[in-house]
Amino acid sequence: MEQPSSSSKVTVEYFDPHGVYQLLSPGLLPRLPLHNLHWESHAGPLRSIDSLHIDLVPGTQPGQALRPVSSAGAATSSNLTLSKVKSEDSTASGGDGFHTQTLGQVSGEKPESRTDAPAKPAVRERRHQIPGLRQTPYLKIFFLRCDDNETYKAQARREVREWIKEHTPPTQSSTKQNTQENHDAYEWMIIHVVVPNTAAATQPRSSGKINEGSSGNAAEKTAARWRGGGSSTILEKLRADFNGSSRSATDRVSQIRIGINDVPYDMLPRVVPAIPGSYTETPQENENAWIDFIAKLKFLILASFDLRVGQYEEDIREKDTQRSLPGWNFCTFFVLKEGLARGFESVGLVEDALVGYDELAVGLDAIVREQTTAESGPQPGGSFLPYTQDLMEQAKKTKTAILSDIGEDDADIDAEEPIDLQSNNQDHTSQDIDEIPVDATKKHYRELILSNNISIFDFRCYIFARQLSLLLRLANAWSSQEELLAKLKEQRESSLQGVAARFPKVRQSAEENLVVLAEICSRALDFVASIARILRDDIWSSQLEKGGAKEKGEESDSVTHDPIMGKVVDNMASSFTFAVAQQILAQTATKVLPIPPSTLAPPGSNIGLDGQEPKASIPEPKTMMHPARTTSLAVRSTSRESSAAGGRSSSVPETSTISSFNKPGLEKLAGHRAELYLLSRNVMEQIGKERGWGTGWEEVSDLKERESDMEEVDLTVSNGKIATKSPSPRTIFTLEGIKNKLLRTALDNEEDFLRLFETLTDKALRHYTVAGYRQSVLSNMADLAILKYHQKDFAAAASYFVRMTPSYGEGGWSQVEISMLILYAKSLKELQRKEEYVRVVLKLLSKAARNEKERQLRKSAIKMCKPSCFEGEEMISVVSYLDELLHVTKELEHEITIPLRSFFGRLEVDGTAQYDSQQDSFSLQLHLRYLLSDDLTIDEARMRINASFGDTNREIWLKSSGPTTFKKGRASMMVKTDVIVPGIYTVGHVSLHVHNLTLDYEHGTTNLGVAHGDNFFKSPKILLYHRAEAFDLKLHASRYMHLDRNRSLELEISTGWNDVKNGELHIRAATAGMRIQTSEASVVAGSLEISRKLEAGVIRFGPLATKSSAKISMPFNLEHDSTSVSLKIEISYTTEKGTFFYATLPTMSILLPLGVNVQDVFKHNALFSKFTISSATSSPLRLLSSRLEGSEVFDSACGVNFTQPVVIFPRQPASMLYKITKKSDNALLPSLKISKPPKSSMSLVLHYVCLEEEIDLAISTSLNSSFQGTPLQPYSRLLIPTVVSELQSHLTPFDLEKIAVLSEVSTSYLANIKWKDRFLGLGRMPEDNSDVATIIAEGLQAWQHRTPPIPLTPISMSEESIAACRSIVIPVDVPRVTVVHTADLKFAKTSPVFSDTAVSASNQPIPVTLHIKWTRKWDIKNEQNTNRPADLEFFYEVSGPTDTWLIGGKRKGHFKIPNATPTTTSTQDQNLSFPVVLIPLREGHLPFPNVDIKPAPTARIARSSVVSEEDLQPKQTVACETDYRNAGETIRVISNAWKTTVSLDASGPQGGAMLLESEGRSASGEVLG
Amino acid sequence: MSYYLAIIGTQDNPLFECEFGTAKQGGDGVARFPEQARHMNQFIVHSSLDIVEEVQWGGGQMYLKCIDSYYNNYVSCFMTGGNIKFLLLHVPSQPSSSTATRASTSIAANPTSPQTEEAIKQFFTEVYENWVKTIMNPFYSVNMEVKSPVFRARVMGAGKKYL
Repeated sequence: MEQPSSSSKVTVEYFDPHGVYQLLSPGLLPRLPLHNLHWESHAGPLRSIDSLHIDLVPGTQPGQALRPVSSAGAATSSNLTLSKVKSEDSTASGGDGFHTQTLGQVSGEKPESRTDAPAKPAVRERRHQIPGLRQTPYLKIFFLRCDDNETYKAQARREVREWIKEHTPPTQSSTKQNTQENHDAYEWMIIHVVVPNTAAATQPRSSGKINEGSSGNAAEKTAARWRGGGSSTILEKLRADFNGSSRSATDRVSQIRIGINDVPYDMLPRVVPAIPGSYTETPQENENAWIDFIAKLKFLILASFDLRVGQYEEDIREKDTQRSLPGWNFCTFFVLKEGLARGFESVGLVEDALVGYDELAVGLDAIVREQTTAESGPQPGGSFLPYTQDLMEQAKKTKTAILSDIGEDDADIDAEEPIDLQSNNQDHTSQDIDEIPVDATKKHYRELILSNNISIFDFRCYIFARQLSLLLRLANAWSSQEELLAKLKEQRESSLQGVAARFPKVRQSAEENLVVLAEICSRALDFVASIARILRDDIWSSQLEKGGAKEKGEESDSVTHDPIMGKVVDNMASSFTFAVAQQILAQTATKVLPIPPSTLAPPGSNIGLDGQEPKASIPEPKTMMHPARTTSLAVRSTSRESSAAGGRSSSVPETSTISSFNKPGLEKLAGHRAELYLLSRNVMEQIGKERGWGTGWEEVSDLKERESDMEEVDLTVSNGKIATKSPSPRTIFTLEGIKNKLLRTALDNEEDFLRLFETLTDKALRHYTVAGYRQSVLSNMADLAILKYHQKDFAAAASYFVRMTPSYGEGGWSQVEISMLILYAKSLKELQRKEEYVRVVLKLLSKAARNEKERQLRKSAIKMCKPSCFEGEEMISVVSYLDELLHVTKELEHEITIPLRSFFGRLEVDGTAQYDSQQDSFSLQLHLRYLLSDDLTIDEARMRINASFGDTNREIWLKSSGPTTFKKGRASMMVKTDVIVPGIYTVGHVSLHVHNLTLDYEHGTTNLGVAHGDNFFKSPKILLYHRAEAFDLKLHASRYMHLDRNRSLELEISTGWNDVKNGELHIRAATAGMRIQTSEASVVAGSLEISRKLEAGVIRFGPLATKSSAKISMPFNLEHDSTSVSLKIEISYTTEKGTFFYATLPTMSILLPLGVNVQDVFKHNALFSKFTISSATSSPLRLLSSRLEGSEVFDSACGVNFTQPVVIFPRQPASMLYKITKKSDNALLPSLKISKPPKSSMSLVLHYVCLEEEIDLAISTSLNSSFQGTPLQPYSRLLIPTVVSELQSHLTPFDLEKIAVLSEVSTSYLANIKWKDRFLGLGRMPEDNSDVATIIAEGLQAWQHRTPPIPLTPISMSEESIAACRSIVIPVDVPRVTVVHTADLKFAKTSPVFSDTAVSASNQPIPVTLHIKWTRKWDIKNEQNTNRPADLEFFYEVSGPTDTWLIGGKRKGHFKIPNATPTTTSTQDQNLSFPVVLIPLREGHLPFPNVDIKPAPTARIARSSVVSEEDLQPKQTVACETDYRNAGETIRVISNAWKTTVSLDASGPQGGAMLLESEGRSASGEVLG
Repeated sequence: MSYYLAIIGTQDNPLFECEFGTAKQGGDGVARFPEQARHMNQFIVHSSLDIVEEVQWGGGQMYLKCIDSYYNNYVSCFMTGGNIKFLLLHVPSQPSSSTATRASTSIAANPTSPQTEEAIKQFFTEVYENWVKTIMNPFYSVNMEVKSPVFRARVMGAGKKYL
């Protein structure tokens, strides 16, 4: 009963004539409520009732109450016993003297139950057709105290029997007419309470059990038998007497023994009639007895409940079938059905009860609808009152109040006050009831229904109230209605005492069903919507009725149009709606709902008027101002609010909120509650609007209206405007009719109105946050923000705007966003927060610009499609923000960067670079489409172009010359730079600068995604080039190359039209491993001053006149071999027109185009060198001259010089032969004296021309001459390299050979090249706007047609041309040979015959002498080496093919060459001779045998003991050359036959030819002549 | 009666917006929204998105009828299978407080009558057809704004036809 969550109770009446309830209750009450009842319904599944509370009501003493029905029913069953009962009354009530003390106590104990009792029978008085209305007991219990068998026999049995007679349920009789009684069906039950120390207590429960029990109890058994006079105990007797005879009869008797300790001492019977302790009950048995009792209780309650339900259902069915019959009364049906529902409710089957009510609500709707459609005639389903009396009276009262107000012309609050107060004071309870408009107990609805005397309004209210209470029960809400009221009272008291917010104690409600709570809220929303209309209709019809009473007909129309009445109706409806919403909110409040802390009063906001937080101060002013009207609701809202806010009252336990965050239905509940808040807010707002209190939204539109008129935004003006505007709608406004205190208070003055508005919105917002309604949160936030703005609380407004505007913006809700941004900006401006102001205004402007752009786009699209469907969409004007913005940004310290596209619709870069004449600079044109209506003046524009390939880091910045002003629409401007680096560029960055504001656009890889489908930026590729007259820089490999020295490169600087004052070159190697020695740079040609600095890679140079050029040469070296090197050269030069900059990345080939091989032939006195000069590439060369320059040691000589250039083809090298002789020793001697060794190496100097260079030259000159004077001339610096490289890539080695042979270049290779593609990005001609690339392509085509072959320039052999062409110096070293032998085979006898060849007979030995001559002349290095090895040992070998020569004599032999000191070498005999015999084996011209001379390796071994290590060294490197004189010579070997005789006689035995005689020439081996 | 149609994508972002007025009963087809408070249309429609979320699973219908009202503005909704919401904000030409409008059954005057609902349903169905055709454009990706003037013209046509 203590639990507030369950209000379902079952009344159980008990009759306690002996006053034992007192004894029993300590044992009974803890076992209540009943748990786990299972009811098998007739239809539907098994229902379980978790817990059922039992309202134990003491029954009226039999005979006291007048019970006509019951007695009528009872009369049929047994008339006889009735009299007995009545006669026994006195004894029962009076009690016997034995127990007086007990009884006296009991009766004194329960005064309130006694006083309660008469109230119930008052309802029970009449038995009408409203059975459901009564709380009749489901069960009647008779507590019997019977201490021993005698008493039982004598008194108790009679007593019980009488009671039973009286209370036999009518169900026992099955007569038809008594079925009605089943509405009140009940069961009965007898409890035998056994008091300790009595005889009964000594009795066991059943005698049979004792008999079979332990023998120790025999005495007791006998005693019992002895005492009871029978075998049975009192319990058994009771059972036997009252349980009925049939087997199936239910057991209605139960026994409970009271323990001796449970009975107060003074209540214990002093007389102990039995042997004490003869029988004691074990606790287990005691427990079993209780269980038995409870089970019986349950069973019997359910049984009677079942009967009742069956009865009701039958009745309802019956009534339902009669529905179509005329005269069927809905009210009757309603009462019947409600009875069933109540029955369900009382046993805790709330869902079933709810279903019943829902069906009834639908039924009511149907009836009402039928009634409205069937205009005239009898109303189906019974009639309802056309209006509600209360409402009519209220309306009337209100109206008179208003009328009196209007009579005074001025709405004086004091005048209406007393009336209002009076109405409140009429009855005190109505004050609370006003706050709870929907309450089933507010009126005696049921009586009204029964008497068919209820209006639809009341009817609906009642049904909803019932539904509400059921739902609340179902939801296990903490607030049942009674409790709510109690709480209200309590809190009001506490608040009156000045306690701020005493929160009620934490309730024990276990689990609140949030889904059901949400259901309540949503139902309430529906209800409010419909009931407000019914309320209006109700009042209007009451007015009509009144009017109709006076004069019928047309008067009714005037009544409907009565403005005052309209006001009254509006007010009442609003008040009612508001109150219902508040009530539901209060009832569905749950701690489980985790509402985030209030967003009100953001940091930095103004402190409230009374120095408190605005939220906290909401109720207080009211209490201060209207102490008389301190309403409970206002205070209640405080306490709830503070708990909901959480932040303020830390005392409130918040633990449960987190744990149960994700309860089912939580979001739903929050959402519905938020809607309720909004509903009440809207009601309030509407009334407030009548009074002219805006919440800001009107002002928003107002603001913008004035803006579009281009007025200065001044908030003071707007204040005045509103101030003057607000009183205007003050025609009739009154608070009369608004009964809800909170609403009334809020509407009393504007401040409270706004405060309540804010509170409600904030609550809605927080609930929506929990519910996860993003959009609603936003819109509520917008409400709050605008309210704050309206209240001039700009800081708070800004804090809302900052949270809200991005969310709208992200979704694309541009119009809302812009409106918000405008307000935001204004708030920030008020707050002087510049940074944020700038940010917001920028956002605003960019949004406006975007809208403008979209509008333009759409316009153009629509124009294309159909001009008729153009819609005049109004754009939000943001004029005058820009100037302000610029003004503010000027004061900021740091720069602000925003995207360019936020203000500009389109950015276009003109592809034609415009070059300035007479100076190396160019400019580009930018086209922009400006979107804002304000003019924008920029200080500077900058643009960056990036090289699109090659040197990717290269970027050029272009700047505008001065400020530019943009007006709305297209605008263009020029940006210029002095830097020209040829190449293809794309625009990478554009920025506009105004004060601290930078608008930039970055076109890079990052926004590729955006660029898709985006046409903001358009820029062609830009091809920058150098005009022919511009400053130029060329890189060549040095024409003069010395293989021994570092190679060098040449930079050719040509000024063009620039009169250079000074300049600076920055040179860096772009090839890995290349080092340039800029410090050794020297001017090769031209007049130029170079000031060398220590900085590596930097060369500064002095003035250089117009159209002059200079060459700077500088050496370089390479770490790795590579065919080409490239340099990064940047040059900046100053002229009178400024400083210009030029950068280039030239590449040059350092590949040697020719290769030289040398072959040396040593002779005794001279060395012959053959140089083979070949082309290293596939391209032919022209060799112009060749010269071998002698050195200090050697002289060289050559036969002839060329008169014609020699063409060297790759497969046809040229050979040059030089004779090198050693200069005479005399000439050498002086130099020997000087310690420095003479330079022995010679150098080969070649002058040559590469064919490619010739081709380049030919083409360049041809192109130059053909472009001379045409518009293409400025482009020649761009064209020629392109054409040349194109041609070179097309030339095959074969083509080159052909060109070399023919001396002309065919241009047919260039015919099919698409030149246009190579020159894209040049833009258009300034004159006729034609594409430059096309013109170039055409010009090149024409040139190609004109000159199919181009002759190569003939090369003259003059000195100058030779000097001008490329030269290479190759150092030539004479190889060092230690010894040069000259071997000669000489015949011993000189042939008498002088002939070229010696003749010898075959097989004849020829004596020969081998002469070896040696010289160490060529041992150049060792000549001065004095300690060279003393002797050199060689061996020779004469060898010949074995089938040709037979060599005899000293074929092999060693010889020594002595150490020739310089003094002796010349004088010593250098000849050695060895005799050898040769025998030719064949005839014919035989080559001489070979003579090999080699240094002897064996010599070393022989002298190894003596010779030191040093001596060994040169031994191994001994190089010798042999000049074999006889090489290539032959000796003619003829047959040795001098005379031969041959017989040719055919006769004889052999026949045939026969050698007869032969004679040799001579036996001696002489060589024949 | 003035209408404001917004097609809302899955991210609650507007994909298409247009305004038109009634063409029935002598209407000239021009929206009569208060010029200064144009943003209110978006504001209201945006706020009602929560309601759409709530009611969208209620029935299996695509046409959700009138889901929300804000003072005198009514919002009807149509959901496509792809969670695209068509929200039609309709504002009766004059406040329906006077007795004259109560009797009138015209679409323009009575925003919640069955006739209006039916008309809006037909309108939505036609817009839906066109919408499907529009987004079948292979270059269309979900939640992209629809800028096709043809679609706009067709929506206007549907509005003229039914509303």
